[in-house]
Formats: sequence, structure tokens, C-alpha cells
Amino acid sequence: MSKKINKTGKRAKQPKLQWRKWLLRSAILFTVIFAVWLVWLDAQVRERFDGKKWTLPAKVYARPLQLYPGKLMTVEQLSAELSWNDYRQGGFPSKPGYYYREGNRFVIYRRGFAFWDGHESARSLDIRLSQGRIESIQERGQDVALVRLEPMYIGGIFPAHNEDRELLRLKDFPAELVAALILTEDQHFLKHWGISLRGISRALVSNIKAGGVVQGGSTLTQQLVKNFFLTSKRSYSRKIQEAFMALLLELHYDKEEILEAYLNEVYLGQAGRRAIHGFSLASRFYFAKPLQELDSAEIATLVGLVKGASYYNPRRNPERSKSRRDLVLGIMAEHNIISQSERLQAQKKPLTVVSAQRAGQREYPAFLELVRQQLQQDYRLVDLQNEGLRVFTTLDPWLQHSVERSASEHLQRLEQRFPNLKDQLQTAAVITSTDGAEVRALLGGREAEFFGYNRALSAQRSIGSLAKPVVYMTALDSGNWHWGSVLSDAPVSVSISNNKQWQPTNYDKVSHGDGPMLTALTHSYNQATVRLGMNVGLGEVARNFKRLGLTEELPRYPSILLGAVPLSPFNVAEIYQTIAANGFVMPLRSIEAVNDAEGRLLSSYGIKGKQAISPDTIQWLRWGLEQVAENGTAKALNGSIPLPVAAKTGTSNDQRDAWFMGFDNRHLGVVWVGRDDNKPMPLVGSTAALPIWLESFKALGVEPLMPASGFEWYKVNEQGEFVEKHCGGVLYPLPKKQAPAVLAACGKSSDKKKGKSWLDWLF
Amino acid sequence: MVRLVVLTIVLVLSGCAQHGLKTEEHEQAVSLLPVMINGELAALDHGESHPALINLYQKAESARQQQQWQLVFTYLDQARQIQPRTPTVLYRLAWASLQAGNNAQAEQFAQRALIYAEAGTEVEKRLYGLLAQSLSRQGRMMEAYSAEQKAQ
Repeated sequence: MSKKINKTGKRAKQPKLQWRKWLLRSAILFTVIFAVWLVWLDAQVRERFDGKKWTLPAKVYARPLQLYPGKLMTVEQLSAELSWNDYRQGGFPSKPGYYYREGNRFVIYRRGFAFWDGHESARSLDIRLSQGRIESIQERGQDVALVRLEPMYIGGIFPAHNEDRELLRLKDFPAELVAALILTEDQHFLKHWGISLRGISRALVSNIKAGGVVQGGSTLTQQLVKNFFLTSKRSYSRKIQEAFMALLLELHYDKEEILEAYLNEVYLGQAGRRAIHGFSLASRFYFAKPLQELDSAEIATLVGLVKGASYYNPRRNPERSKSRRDLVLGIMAEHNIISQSERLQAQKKPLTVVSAQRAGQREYPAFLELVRQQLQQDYRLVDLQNEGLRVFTTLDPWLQHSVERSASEHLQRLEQRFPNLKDQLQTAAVITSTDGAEVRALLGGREAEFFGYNRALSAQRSIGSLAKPVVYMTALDSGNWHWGSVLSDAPVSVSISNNKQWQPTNYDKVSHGDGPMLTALTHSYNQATVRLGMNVGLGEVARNFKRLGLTEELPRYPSILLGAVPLSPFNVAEIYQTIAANGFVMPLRSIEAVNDAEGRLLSSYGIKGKQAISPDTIQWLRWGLEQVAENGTAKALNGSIPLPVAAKTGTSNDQRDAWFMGFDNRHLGVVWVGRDDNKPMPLVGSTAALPIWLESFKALGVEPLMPASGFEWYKVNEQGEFVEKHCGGVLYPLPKKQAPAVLAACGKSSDKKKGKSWLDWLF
Repeated sequence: MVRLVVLTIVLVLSGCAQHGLKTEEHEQAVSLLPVMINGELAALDHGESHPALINLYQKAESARQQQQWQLVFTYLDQARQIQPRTPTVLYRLAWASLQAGNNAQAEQFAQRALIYAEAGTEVEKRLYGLLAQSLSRQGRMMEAYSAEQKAQ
């Protein structure tokens, strides 16, 4: 019985033991899992916090504005450039970032800046302008030969998350801001271990009372953990993980390190695709000045944003932002960060944020794409996105803004004239410097700030009559033709394939008969150009496209003579760059130099080029292009700007593309106007594209081309022969090296060109 | 070896041709050029120029003395952007390229400067001299000889 009892007793105890055993095992298992999890969390915290905390996008800058006596400079340009660089106009400036203007006199306190070739300190400059130029620059009564303004920020090369920030050390943050942040967001920051039980309890009570989450109990450390390591997902498991990570963070790092990370990490706004992180960048973004220059009201506005960058956005929700700012100011006064009178004064101030679209904070997507493409020839994209490189480019903001404005205004005018074109027209433009091939402006579409299809680089459109100068250059270069040579603009028929004939007509559907070659170019006659092109040879014309810098192989179709060649505006600019640069083929360049995050010069990109075509031929061609502006299809320029400038209009088949190319002594501009659906328009190069070029160049200030050297002038008779000086005829230039050995006598004509009809040109 | 022989001939011929070179009319714009010592450029910042250019030449010269060629070119390129068609700016770029061992670049700068140099001036002669050096260093002796002739 006792045995039975014992047995029964054993049986009664067994489930309890089993249960304990399982409990013990579970506890051990849980402890092991928890320990492993903690170790894993710890590794995560330390790995991220010990190493480089942030990926820093490359910062891209425009060209610095060089200032020296004699430089072309208007009051409007200098005022605009200062404003885009966030300089504030006021009384006599006593600190960097401010300027004073009185008529043509500017006193500018230039900020210090780390240029690619060295750091330059802040300096106060007294600049006087006169007659559109800089007359003098002085610093403390001494003449200054050369100075430059710091370049404007024009965008970044961001990683996928598009985060942007300017890193600062803790000691560089204003003490007022740091104190205001701690007092507003986490009063016990300096005492707790990463989590605040008091804060959590208070939030828990509030949330239970409200029946939902209305208050967070997060410390600054927890907020940092959330932003740094976790997603914004709200769940209890994430909250637990956040709390443990906060504890681990506090275990390994001191308060100063955590605070510095927080001040640089916190999300404070959105600028298009760019996420504004950290107080330093936010200060520039909202107030256009460095953090150190903020007043109490501005500091309070920024601190107020921490609770919700979108909800308290001072631009979109000014009332809400102001009331939050005033609350923060109250906290600051309560804790003697500011006095009560300072609080009252600050609370009376209106919100004074600057426009998010201002030049110094907006981006230039089309140009940035070019910069990125060119940088990727030397740098890995991942380095551009992460290493905090500083990229100095060739963009001229004044010119860029002029092109954007001219394009926008002219397209609006065209749409008013042709209402059925409303929202149908698009445009693209490339402006370069003639001698250095620096890209000074790039327009990828009519919405200049839109990150999308970049027509300047990617649109492949027929170039129409912009191909013609290559045909004429081929003829001049052959030595068999000159501008006075007689060219027939009679109907022409070219055999293409399978017994098919190509019979191009002129734009006005009229054949103009015999005339000097110059007229065929200036009036852009198709029939004459095709006849000339077939005479000099398609192969030679195609070869000259390559000599001028075209990288693609052209098909040997006769239609290339009239520009049935799909090219981007950038490609067209590359070709004409060679003409504008006296025959030097130069890659169009958008980058001046690249520095690393510490300011060391990594690369600089000076002028490069190779003489591909003789300067004589190019200058001879250029003279013809000057006549296009003088009295040809671009004569709208004559009287509007000082001449000579070289010009060529272009219109593709069925008026699907309108082009204009022109260059003066300093800049080359190529403008395209068309429809993305490639449908015809009631527009041509001179009505659609030329006015955009003209307005842009007017704003820039046209510097006429220097007269070409190395020419001699000869009279040419109606037969295209050089005749003696006293004979009747028209004067044409001829390179000295090609001086004719014999001049024809007056009145003598040659019959060698007569008797040809369009039948002669059946190929 | 062949190059050496041709170069020697070039130098001998150029040496022979040096007599009676410096006529007054060829001294035009010579003050814009850096000083030459024993046929070599003394410093980038010698010579008269626009004060803005002198400022950049001084920085370039300082960088040259420290053999910081990347900086030399960045300063000279800034000068070129201010006066893109001034042969003396391009002359300095050509000379610095030659010093830095970039002979092809020196040739192109000299070619470019020659477009803008006034015919028959000292500037033109010196440019042809630089061109000759850059060509001979590239082994193009006949072209070098032709340029050297024009430098006389």
C-alpha cells in the first residue's frame, strides 16, 4: 500500500517537476536568446556609431564669381549673385554674409570659403562699378587685383535615400540651441541612461486616458536610435528594441557624442527630393544663413520643428510653427536661456523664413546630370554619393537664370500666338564658353527644376539646317570653292536606292537659280546645299562631322546634307564648339575641380583640345556665319545686338524641330525647340529658337567677334571669278595662303558653269 | 639615336641662325613675356600683365616652386578664363606643360597661342621655340625643325 502511496505520491509530484523543469529550460533558452539578441544589438550600435556615421553626398557648386577691375559686370548681376549666395543687404557690413549698396558702389563682407585651390578668409571689399564694368576693388583703402565670391551651391549627388546634411562638431552648435533642444525635448537628458521611466510612465498615462498614442516618452537618445537604426514603424517590439539600443548607446558613448550625433541626424524638412537633416543645413534651408548667425526666434523655430518637421513647417503651416516657436521661447525664458524681455521681443517677431525655391537652395537637374556623367568617368558613383566630395563646376548661374527665363517667357509668347500648342512645346539649350569649352548653362526642358527627361543631353532630334555649315566648310577646305563661287539653287534630284530619287525643295518652295555660295548659306537654300554636298562628296562631309568632334559614325545618306541626323543639343554644341574655338576640338567640360571632404584637391580639369581643322578654314567659315546674322535667316539679330556674331538657324523636315546656334567672342549657344511627340509645329528656327538665344545673350552682354586675321579681300564677278581690283564685283575674303595666282580681266566671263540643268545632278 | 642626331642638327642650325635676330620691330609685346635666363623661362610671374593675371601668375609661380603642378595649372587656367585669347597666358600654359612633362599638351597650347600671336613679334618667336621643344620631345624632329626655323 505504502508502495502504492509512494508511487501515487511520485505520480503527483512529477507534473510539477516537469513544469519547473520546462520553466527552467525556457528561462535558460530565453536568457540565451535575449543575450544573443543583446549582443547582436550591441554589435549593431557599435558598428554604426564607431564608424562613419553618415554617408555624405557630393556637394556641387557653381563657378565662383571672379571680380577684377575691368570685368564686365552690371549692378543687376552683382546684386543677383549676392542674393543667390544668401548675402543680406543692409547697412555697412560688419560681419561676413552682408553687403551694403549705394548706387554703383557695393561694400561686400565676403565669407571665408575653402575653394578647390585653397581656403580664403573672410574679407571686406569695396567695389565700384562704372559703365557696365568693375572700376575698382579696394580692401582697407588698398587696391585689390582679383577676388572671388564663394560659389553657389547648386545641388548634390545623393544616395537613394536623398539625405543631405552639413556636419558640425558639438562645440560649433550655438549653446542656446543645444540648451533649448534639451529643455524642450528631453529635460533629463543629462541624467538618464538612455530611457526615462518617468517619461514613459507619463506618456503611458496620457495615452491610456486618450485611448490612443498621443504622447511619446522617447528621450533624445531613443529618438536618435529610432532615426539612426530603426524604421519609423510604430510597434511595441520596435519600441522595446529602441529602448535597449538606447541603453546600449548610453553604455558605450558619452552624452556629448550622442548629442552631437542627434544634432546632425535629426530630420528637419524636405526640399524637393532632398531630405534636410541636421540643424546646420536646416539653418541654411530655412533662414539662408549659418547656424551661428541665428537669433533666438530662429533657433526656437528650428527646435520646434523637431516635434514634426512637416506639421510645424514654417512655410506651409506658419501659424502652427509660430505658436510652437513661442512655446519653445517660453521654455527658454523659463530656464533663463534668454531673459523675459528677450522672449517678449522674440515672440513679437514674425516668422522670417526664406523661399525654398531661391537660387541658393534649388537644384539644377539638367546640369547636375551632366556633372554626374562626367564625374563618373573618374569616380565611382558610390563614392560620389557617400564620401562628401566637393565638386566645383563651370555653371554660370547668371547665364543659367537668363536662359531659363528667356525660354520660359518665349514659349509662353508662342503659346499665346498658337493656342493649340499650349503645353506642347519643349526646349533645350546649351551655352558654353567659346575658348575653354566650359559648359556655362544647360537647360533640359522648360521646367528647369524638374528631375526628368533631359532633352539637352538625351533628345535625339534632326538638326536640319545646322548641318549645312559642315557642307560649306568641306567645300572651303577643299580649296575648290570660295564664298563668291557660283552655286545653282535649281531643282536637284539625287538617286538614293532602288531607282528612287530624292528631290529636296527649299523652305519657300522656290528655286533661286544661280548665286554666290554665300547666299546659299545665309538664306539656307536646300537645293544649292545638296548640290554642293554631292559635289564635295558625302564621305568628306561625314568625315568633317567627325573632325569637328562628332563621335558617332554618320550614315552616307544624301539627306545628312540637310541635317537628317538625329543629335542632341549637346552633340550639336560639341560640333559648333570646334568652329567657335578656331578649329580646336574640345570636350565640353562641366567640372573645374574635385576636392575631398577635408578640402584636399583630388582632380582639376583644365582646358584640353587638339587642333583638328586649320584656323584659316574655320575663320573663313565663320565669316560666312557672320553674314547669316548680318543679312541672312538670322537677321533678326541685326540691330538687336552688336555684330558680328556667327549664327545659323535650323529647321528640320516638316518643321518638327527648330534650332538656333550662335556665338560671339565669349560664348556659344545652341537652342532647340520642339514637341516631345515629334509632331510638326508652325515654327522655324528663327521664330522659335533664335529669340531664346537672343534674350539670353542680351542679358549676358554680347561681345562681338574679333575680325578674323589672315584674310585678303578680292573682288569676285558674277561668274565667281576673282577679278582685278578696279573691276566691278563683290568683295569676298580669301585666306592669304589661297591668294589666286591670276586675276581675271574686267568684263571677261567664263562659260564653264553654264549649260547645267538639274538633270546634270542625277546621281 | 636618329632622334639625337636630328636634334643636334636642329640645335646647331638654330644656333647658327641666332645672329642678328633681335631687331627692334620684333620686340613688340616682349614686356608681356616672362624673363628668359639662358634660354629658359625664369618664373611664371615675370612680365607685365593685367593685375588680376599677375595675381594668378604669382600663385602659379609659388606652386611651381613647390612642384605642385596641379595647382600651377589650375591658377594658369583661371588666368586663361580671364583672358582666353592672350598668347602670353597660353605661352605660360605651354611652358608649364613642358616643365611638367606633358609635351602633347604643350604643343596644343603653343598652337593655340600662335593663332592669336601677332605675326613677326617676339611672342610668336618664343611660341615657335616652345612648339619646337614640345615636338622634338615627342620625336617629331622634322616638324620641330620647321618650328625652330620660325623661331629664329
